[in-house]
Amino acid sequence: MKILHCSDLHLGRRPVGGIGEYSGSRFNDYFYSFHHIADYAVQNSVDTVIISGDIFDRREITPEILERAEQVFIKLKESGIAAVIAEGNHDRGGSNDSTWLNYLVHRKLVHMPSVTINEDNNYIFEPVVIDGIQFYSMGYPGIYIEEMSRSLVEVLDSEKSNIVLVHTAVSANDHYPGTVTPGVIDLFKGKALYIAGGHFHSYHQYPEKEPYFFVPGSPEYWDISERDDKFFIVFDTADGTHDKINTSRRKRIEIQHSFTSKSDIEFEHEFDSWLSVLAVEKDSVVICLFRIEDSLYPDGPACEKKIESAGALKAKVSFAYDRPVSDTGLLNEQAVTTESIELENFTGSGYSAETAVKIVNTYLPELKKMQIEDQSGDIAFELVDRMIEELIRGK
Amino acid sequence: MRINKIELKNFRNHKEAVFEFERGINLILGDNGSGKTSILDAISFALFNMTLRSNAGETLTVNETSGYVKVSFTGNDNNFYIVTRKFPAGTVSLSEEGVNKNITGVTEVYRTINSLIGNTAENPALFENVIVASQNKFTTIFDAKPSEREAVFNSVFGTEIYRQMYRGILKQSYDVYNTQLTFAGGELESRQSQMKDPLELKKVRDAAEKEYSSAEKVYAESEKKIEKAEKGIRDFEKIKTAKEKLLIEIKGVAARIEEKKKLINSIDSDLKTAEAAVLEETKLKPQHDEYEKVKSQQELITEDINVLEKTEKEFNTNKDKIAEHEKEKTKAEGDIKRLNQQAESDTITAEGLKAEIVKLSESINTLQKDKSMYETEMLSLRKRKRAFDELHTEYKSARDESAKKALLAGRAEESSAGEETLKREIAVCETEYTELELLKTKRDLLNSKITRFNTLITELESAERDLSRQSCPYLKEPCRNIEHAGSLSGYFGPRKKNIAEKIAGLEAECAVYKDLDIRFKNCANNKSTKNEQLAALRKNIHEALKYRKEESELKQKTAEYALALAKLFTGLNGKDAAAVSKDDYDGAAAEMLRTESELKTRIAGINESLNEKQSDHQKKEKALTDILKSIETAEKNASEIIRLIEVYNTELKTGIELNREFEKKIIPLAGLKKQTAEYALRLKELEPADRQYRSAAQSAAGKNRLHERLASEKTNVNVITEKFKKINEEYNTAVYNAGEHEKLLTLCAGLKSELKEQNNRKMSLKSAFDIAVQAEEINSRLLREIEEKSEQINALKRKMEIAETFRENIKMLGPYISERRTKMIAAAATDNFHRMTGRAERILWENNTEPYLVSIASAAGKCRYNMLSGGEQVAVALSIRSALASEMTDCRFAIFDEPTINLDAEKREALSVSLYDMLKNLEQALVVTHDAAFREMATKVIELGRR
Repeated sequence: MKILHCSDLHLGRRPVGGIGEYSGSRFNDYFYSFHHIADYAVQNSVDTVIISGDIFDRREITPEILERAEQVFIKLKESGIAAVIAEGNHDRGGSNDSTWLNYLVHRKLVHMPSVTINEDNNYIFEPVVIDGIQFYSMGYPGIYIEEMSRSLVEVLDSEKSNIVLVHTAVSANDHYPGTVTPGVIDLFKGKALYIAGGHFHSYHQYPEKEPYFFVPGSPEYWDISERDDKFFIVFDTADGTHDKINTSRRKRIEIQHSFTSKSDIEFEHEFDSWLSVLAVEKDSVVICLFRIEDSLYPDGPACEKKIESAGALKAKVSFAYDRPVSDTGLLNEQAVTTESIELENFTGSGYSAETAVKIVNTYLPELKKMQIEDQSGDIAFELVDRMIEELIRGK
Repeated sequence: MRINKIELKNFRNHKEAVFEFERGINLILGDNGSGKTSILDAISFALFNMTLRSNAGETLTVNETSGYVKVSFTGNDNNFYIVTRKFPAGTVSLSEEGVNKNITGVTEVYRTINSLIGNTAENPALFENVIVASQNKFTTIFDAKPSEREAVFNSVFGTEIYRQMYRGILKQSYDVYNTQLTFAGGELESRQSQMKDPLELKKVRDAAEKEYSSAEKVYAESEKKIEKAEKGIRDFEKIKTAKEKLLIEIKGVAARIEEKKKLINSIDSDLKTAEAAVLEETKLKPQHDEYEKVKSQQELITEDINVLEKTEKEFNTNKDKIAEHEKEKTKAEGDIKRLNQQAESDTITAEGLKAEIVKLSESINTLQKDKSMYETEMLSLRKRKRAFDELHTEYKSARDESAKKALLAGRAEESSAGEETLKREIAVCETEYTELELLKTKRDLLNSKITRFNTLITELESAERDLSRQSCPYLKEPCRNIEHAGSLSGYFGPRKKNIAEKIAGLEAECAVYKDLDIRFKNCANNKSTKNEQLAALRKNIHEALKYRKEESELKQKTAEYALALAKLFTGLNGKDAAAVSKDDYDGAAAEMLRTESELKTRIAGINESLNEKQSDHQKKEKALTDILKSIETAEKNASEIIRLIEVYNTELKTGIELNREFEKKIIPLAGLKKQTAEYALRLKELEPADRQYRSAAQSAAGKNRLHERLASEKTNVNVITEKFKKINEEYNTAVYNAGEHEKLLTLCAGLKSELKEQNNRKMSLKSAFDIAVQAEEINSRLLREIEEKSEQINALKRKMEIAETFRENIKMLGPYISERRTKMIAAAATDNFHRMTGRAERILWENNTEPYLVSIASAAGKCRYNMLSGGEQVAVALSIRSALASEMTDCRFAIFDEPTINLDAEKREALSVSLYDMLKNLEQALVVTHDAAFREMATKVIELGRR
């Protein structure tokens, strides 16, 4: 069976509160991306499309959003392609609430494997079976991910072909809500043919060798600060191969530039002439970081308007004073954590990237814990000694 | 993250209370003692795992023993959760709303909550300084002593741990390495002192080995000699054993010869007894012969009697059987007669039924033919009617639609004339609109600049006023700061002038665009009206053209339907289809309905009589089948009985004949029985003489056998005597060999004594050799250990080197993290500051001269935080706090506890303006205050009364 896996469509999202042309265009973008996925499925003889959560951006949606989503599901159904879906944290209901996803099931446009809790407080999984393949779902398990996973592993019959849909992503630490540790995914080895993950908007797979857990990433940028590649995955149960296919999404361009003007007026002219030779791609999203002299106080929103007049759908301008433009961390708005700074410091002090990761992720947390708990003596020395030996091997 | 509801039970003065919160700013308003701060403490206890500041007695409501805090909140994943923490037990549970599954255990619960609310739980420093702003601490912290600032922000950024590790765990480990190194050095020295010269040791070992090897050879030769002598001894031992065996054998054979002689004497005596028995046998022979003869005759007669008695028994049995057969035969003949009478009566009834069934079948066939004819007729009628109805409807609809479209198409010609005129007018409007739009953008830009510059001037003036009123905090120490104040005064003048000039220039530029808005509005209205008119016109034209096309298509369809209608409906032949009236159609339809109803009635009538006849037909058929079946059964039974009678007849005949023969055979039976009794008497008389004769004959018969046995035993005695002689010879040879054996034993004992001495010498040489080998081995072990220790020492030195470098890295990590964090936060705070105040200065937060020193920088230079005006301090502090919150957590939640307390009027005003700017970017903020100044900005106000 040829299966197409995508996730986090976020249909109905209207950035910046639904105000203006930009918001309207972006509203359409999410549907275009979904249509592109459906067209690919139709043209490439896909048998089943699975969507592992966050089909809608919110649990309450307008009739327009529902109608436009239905159009795509009807397209799939009329081409003989089954759709199997799961709930995400954005579009799920409460414990007893019915959602628009249930409506799509009721209309027979999609299948949704269920997970419920019975009177004895145990999880009950009801799979959807298509051509002998059993599709199970854990929906968005949130804080119950580990308990629910252990229950599901008990139920899975390793003699059968099982595919599990779950709105979660692998994260080694506890920083992000609704994520799962690698140890829990290890439980499914040999039990599930493929685990269709989601929740994170960038692609990743687990484990590195012979992976069976996949997060394809959102097809369209949920936020324009997201920079990662975005895919959907085509998985063939016959030979176990999986192909990553790039999604169709809004064009996004990042630009860094240094200006030399000494006053605001000079800057205005310099900016205009810089812009006049810049080939701005029509309807693209342009993210700019400008390095300027310390004395300037330029008008960022005005610059953004000018870039938009030159053809961009949306421009975002920020300025840097005493920071080197090469500092890519500034363009990437993802959170800077203590661990990321530690990593940066160790790699800067001559440790190899691999060793630095090992120190920061494995040894430092343990050392800190022991220091806080005031554990001295043999246990602490053993840990330090193990680390020092690893550092010697890494040199 | 946001809190939706908090439930308190027996928590301080809240015996039972529920507070609901909303997204945005929530104001908790109340006087001192109303329980405001208790709400915040409960939240920090249950949701952020902060320790309660009060002990158990103070936390519980008076006279209560336990209580709880329950917080319902929305996590960063948009889902709803409930955390319940009990006190004084301190236990906690977490679940999703509506899900009956709890996570428990303090560590597990807060690890989970931490991810749900953006990594804030369980870090008291982060919570107390970033999430919560208690009283006016958020402004004064940047103004505190350097050591205080260092302590607070090191905790916020979590950098203290690195210094602790440097001094603690890592230092201890380094010391352990050092001790290990000293110990290993001592061990190395001890081994080096024990080492000997390996060449000398080898020489000693070689000499010992040579001596030992020669002694070993001598010993081996002696061993071989002993082995040979021992073999000889073993052979003599075997001969000795054989001699003893022979002696035993000789004795055995002599005993056997004696036994045989005794046996021959006994046989001789038996032979004499046998010869006496032969004489007795001859005397009794005549009596024995008579006995044998009588016995044989009696056996013959007994056999005949047995045969005849058996025949007599068969005769009697056969007689009973004949009587029984005759009885059964009579009963069967009666049965046959009854069956024949019944069969005749049934045959007559069956013939009658057959005739009736033929008649009924004919009648049913006729009815079915009629019914089928009527049904065909009705089917054709209905088909015609449906076709006619459909065509008629389509024809009418096409005719009416065509007329409508023709009417609508007429509009096209009217509309196209106005289109061109409108297009020209719109083009003129568009040009004017674009020009005005450009001018407007230009003017807006100018205005926004003027506003920003004006704000800047106001700020500068405020700062200047501070100076003139000497109300700045730093002027409390005039001696140290007066000079600096003068220089600041000099700083304001030129800046203000410069900005005022810029504003004047910009205002002059703006004057040109005075009536721009009215012109723009008129032009836009005009353009929009004309465009609407044009759109309406184009829509009309487009539609009319579409109708024209449809009209012509419909006309053609009307003609086609009319032709088909006329053909179909023969009743209207010759009439133009267009002229078919409603009456024509209705009349024809009614006629068809009538015919249909008549046909229905006829078919129903036929169906009724058909049912009746068919039912009768079925009944008769069944009766006939039953009768035929009964006749068949009777015939079958009769033929079976006839067969039985025949069998009885045959058996009777055979039985009677057999009995006649039996009767003849048993006549001599009585005579034979008498004869056998006479024989028995004679046999009894002869029996004693016969028994005596048999015994004598048996003894006489053994005489010959005894003769033969005597001869054979005599031969055996001769053979054994020969064997005895031969064994005696063998024994004599063995006695001679025993002398040689004694000599060999003496030789072997001498050899063994020599061997023992040789062995002692060999063992002593072996021991010397082993000692030499051992000495060499000890030396090489020492060498190996010295090498190992040297390696261990090198490895330890390397480890110490790496450990020291790592320790240094850890020591520097704290300052590095502070540096990176403050730099990024200062940049974000600068953006916040611009948004809040519209001012161009940059916020700096540095560690170069003092720990965590805040200042603002502009083209004119740097100004420390404590030199800023009250309003500036509030704006800068809020800018940094806001940046700090978004940098350090994903919480988007803040608590302000009495933010205005101890603030002067100016700071209060600055705060109320800036605070809104900051809070509106959060998902939720709780502001606890007794000050109603924030009431207007709040989305929800919770008022607490005094308890």
